[in-house]
Amino acid sequence: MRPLLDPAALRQLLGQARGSVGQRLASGSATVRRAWRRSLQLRMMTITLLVSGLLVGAFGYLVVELTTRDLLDRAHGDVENEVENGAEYARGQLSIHLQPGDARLPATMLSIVASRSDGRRLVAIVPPPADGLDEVTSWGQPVTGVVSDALVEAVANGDKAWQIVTDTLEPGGEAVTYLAYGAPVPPGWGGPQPFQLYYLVPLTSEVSQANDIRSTVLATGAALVLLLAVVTGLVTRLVVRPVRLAARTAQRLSAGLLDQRMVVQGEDDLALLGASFNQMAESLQRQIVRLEEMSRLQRRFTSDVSHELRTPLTTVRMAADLIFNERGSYPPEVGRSAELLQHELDRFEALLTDLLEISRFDAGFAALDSELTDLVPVVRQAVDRLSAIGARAGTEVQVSLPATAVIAEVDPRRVDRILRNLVENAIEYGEGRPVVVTLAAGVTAAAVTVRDHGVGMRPDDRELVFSRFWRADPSRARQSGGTGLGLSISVEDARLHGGWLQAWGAPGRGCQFRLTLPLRAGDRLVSSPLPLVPGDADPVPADTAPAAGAAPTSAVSPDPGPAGAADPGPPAAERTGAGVGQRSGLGAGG
Amino acid sequence: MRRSPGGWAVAATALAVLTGAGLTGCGIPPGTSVRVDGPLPEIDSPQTSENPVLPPGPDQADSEVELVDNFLQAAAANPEDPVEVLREFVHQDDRGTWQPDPQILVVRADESVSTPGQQVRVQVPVHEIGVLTEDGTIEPRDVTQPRTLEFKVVPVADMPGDADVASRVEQRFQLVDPPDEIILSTSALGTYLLPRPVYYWGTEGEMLVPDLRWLPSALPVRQRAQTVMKWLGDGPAAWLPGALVGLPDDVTLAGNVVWSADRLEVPLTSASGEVDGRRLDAQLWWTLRPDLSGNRTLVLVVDGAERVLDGDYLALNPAAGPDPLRFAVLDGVVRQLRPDQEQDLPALAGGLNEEIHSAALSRDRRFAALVRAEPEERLRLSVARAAGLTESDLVADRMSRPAWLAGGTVGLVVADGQLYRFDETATVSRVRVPGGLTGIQAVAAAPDARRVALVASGRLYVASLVWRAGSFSMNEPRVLPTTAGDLEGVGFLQENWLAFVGDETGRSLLYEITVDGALERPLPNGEPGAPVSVDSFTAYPGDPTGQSARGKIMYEAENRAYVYAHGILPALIEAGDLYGVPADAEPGEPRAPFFLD
Repeated sequence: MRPLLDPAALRQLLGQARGSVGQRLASGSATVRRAWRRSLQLRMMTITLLVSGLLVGAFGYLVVELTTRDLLDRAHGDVENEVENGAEYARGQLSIHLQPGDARLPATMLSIVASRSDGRRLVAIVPPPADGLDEVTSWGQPVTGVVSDALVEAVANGDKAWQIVTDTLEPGGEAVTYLAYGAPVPPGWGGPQPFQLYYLVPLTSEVSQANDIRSTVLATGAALVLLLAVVTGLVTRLVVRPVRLAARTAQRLSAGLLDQRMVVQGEDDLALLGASFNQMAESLQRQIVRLEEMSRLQRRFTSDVSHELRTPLTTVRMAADLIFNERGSYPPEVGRSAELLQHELDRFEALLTDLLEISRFDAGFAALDSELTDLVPVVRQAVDRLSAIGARAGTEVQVSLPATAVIAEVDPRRVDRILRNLVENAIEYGEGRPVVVTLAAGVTAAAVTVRDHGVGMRPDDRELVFSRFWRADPSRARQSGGTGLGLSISVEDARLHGGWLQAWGAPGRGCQFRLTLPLRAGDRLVSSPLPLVPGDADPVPADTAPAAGAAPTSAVSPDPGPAGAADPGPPAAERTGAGVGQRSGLGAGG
Repeated sequence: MRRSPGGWAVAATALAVLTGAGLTGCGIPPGTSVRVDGPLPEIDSPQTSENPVLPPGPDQADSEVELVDNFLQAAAANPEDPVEVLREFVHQDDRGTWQPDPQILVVRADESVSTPGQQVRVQVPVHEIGVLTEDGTIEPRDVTQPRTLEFKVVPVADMPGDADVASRVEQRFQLVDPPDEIILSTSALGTYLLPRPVYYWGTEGEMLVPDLRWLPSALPVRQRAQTVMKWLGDGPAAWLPGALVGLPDDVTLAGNVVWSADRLEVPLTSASGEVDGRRLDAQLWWTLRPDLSGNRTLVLVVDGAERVLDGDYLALNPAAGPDPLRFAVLDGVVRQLRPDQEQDLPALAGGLNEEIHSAALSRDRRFAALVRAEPEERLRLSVARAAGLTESDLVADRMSRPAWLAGGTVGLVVADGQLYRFDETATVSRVRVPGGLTGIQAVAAAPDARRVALVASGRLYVASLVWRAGSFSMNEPRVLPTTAGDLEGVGFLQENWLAFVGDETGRSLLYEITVDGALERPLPNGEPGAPVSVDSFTAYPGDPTGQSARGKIMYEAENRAYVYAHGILPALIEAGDLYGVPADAEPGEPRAPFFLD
């Protein structure tokens, strides 16, 4: 039993075949589509091919149609003449018979057919049907088998009529196309029904001529179309090549090779493109060089300033420390001044450090020393170090860490700085309520949220909170003191990693800050493992203000969404008016 | 720029489909519907009122004798298939079984005699003339004895099962057990058939010879030319073997002869592609001349090429032409009869025009055949030319008037019952007559010199001459049964008619008879007298294209010369009717009249 005949197997086979064919078609079409998108030349050639093919096809069809009609008209005219002559001859020959029963009539009919048919033309004569005579055809078969009844009817009604038929009438031959022309011949006895004379003229030469014309037009048209396409391709290449060159040069330029220029030849549009491109590259190069120079100068300045400022500061600090240590021996007002001096000098040093850090960011001099780090101990250390401050403020700091390690390619120093800043802010503005620090990791990113239940902030301040020296409420006394630059530095640190630092807050409900870092350096963040809006916050309306951070702009969903799922970006925070706290960044060592 | 790829795909597919459809649809289609080009232009066809004269049918017989008469005429209605017409005459019971011999026997019927009885017997004495063949010839039969046909006639009784009441009433007599022959009487032939000579060229020489055929007048006018042409193509009659040339072998009729209001078109085809123009044209023109009446032009269509025959072909028929000069012998001198223009006689110049018994002059008058008296009442034939007289070896007791043939280098003369030929050098030789004819009394040659008529032992014969290299031989003569007996002279009165003088119940009468013996009638007022011995009977056919084709007869009876023109009693030729008779002398009486040969 042959398996091929099994219908089920056959169906399966067919399905497989269809599936594989479909797959191949799909993959093939995908390849084609890709090639189409990428190659201007291919597009131009294909368009030219199609359009010219259409036009040439239309014209070619017109030409062939007209010539064919002309051939046919000529053949028709010739045959019409022949038939008229033949009908005249037949009429004369039949005129001597004065009744259908004339015994010599069949011989006359035979002689008419024999004398009128030459080598190529077939002749038939059909007597009036009522007279009981047999028709005579030069090919031996009845006329009605070859021509249509409509023709016979038209001729029997007294009109000349014609049509084209194709049939095999010569024994052992092949089908030939004939122009069948019929004409009535009045009989000698003047009866109402005429004889019918048919000429079947083969159109072999006309058919072959028409075929020749068609083949020629087809071949010429196809060659023309192909040639056009090739020419279009060549011409397009003339244009495409300089464009590609420009693209390559621009690529090299953007990759940093600032001295790349295009070759400019001639004075046409392409030369104009090249010249403009070169101008742009020149100016860019100059600009970049100047900026680099400026940056270098600024770096020099900051390092110079840092050194210059540190030296007197250290001296002043030493003196202040001395005075501070001896404050007991001074009158209480002087002692107070010494404490104040010490405190303010600390602040000054912190501010200086932060300023230098910020200026480093501004100069673009900040460098990321990323290494594969387990974030779990980093978070824990940052929290533990701040536990003393938290205890002093009466704030419990809870930490929630995953059981497994979270390995990420990050700069641990900077991450620690960010976390300390966030936790310090949370403790400061937490109003004694517990601060929750959560670490979670996803497939491509890790996130740390620092939640406090303190004063919160207004929704408008969500972005402003990361600005330099910004305080929501300037009148609020600072407890732990800060430089006002902490969050700005943290945001820059986060941006340096390619991550996000986002804030959420509601007045009186507290705030949540979320740090999202990509696990692999250089990856683009699209989502965060933790939600920005904490689960215990009321749903907030959508706010389309762009988030602070490196997240790309996209539609902000109003729903905060579950943790770990698509959390496209920082949703808006809402703030009410009461009890607005202020947030500022705590300076952290840099 | 992202465009929907589906749009392009649709456009490309549409293009492909369009191109494919266009390509296959281009060109000449294998079949189309019917297109009408309109009617053919109207053509007037000549209306001929066909009123064929048909012989009476059996229903028109009022007596038994009439029935038999009608029966003997009925075959003329359709000589191609006469049996069906004749069957009408036969009694119901015999109709199915009557299977006559298909050939039509032409007889000259005499007065029929009827014997009454339950079956009336009608006896008809007949002379068999010949058989009317398919091509219109009357072929002679060997039997020349008269016989009697017997017919049994019964009146038509009430026949059971006869559906047609009207015909039953009209038909009153029917034949029972008729003879197994189809008989046609000569009177019917003369009434219902038309003589249509078909012309052929003589084997030598340039003259057309008529071959008499009979065409039924029942045939529609349109078909007559067609039939005659077919006869022409089939060749000369059997009794003219070797004498005539038919159509060239490769020329055949290619279709019907088309008879229309202003033309007669003869389609011919030539296998060799070449057709000798003049001879064929002349032949066809003379043959189809009766169909050209009414100003029709004769057009030959040879393989598609038209040729209008409008030349002058009269000269090719020797019978056509003006009447010849007439002469008579007066006192041994040949003199020309008035009122024709007088011509000189170079043959008889220089004193040769004397002591002539009878003479014959060639057409150009350069040769004269003279019969002159010899001692002991014998006659000698001599030939006179301008150069002088040459005597021949022929001497006889009885010598007929000599006759030149065809322009005048050979002549015929009958001497002592034998036929001799002579030429211009007076060399005489006997003409061998096949069939052993003896007692030849007179000879007359047709103007074409291919047919001769003989009177031998009082009976009339016709024979054809076969010419070869300037000389001729004679085929076996056929006898023409005549009503008169004791014939004494014969001449060609028309192309196809002979005139003779014979004895009918004791009186000499002039008769005319067709060369095939079919029709014979006495010439009106043709009575030389009763009884006379007629010598020097001579006749000359009239111009067939003239008003009357009948010529004149001249003869000598009782040593007097007479001339007969149709319908007028023979007129004596007086001396005053001759040119050049000296006024003073007492002239004798002209005798031995003759025409220029």
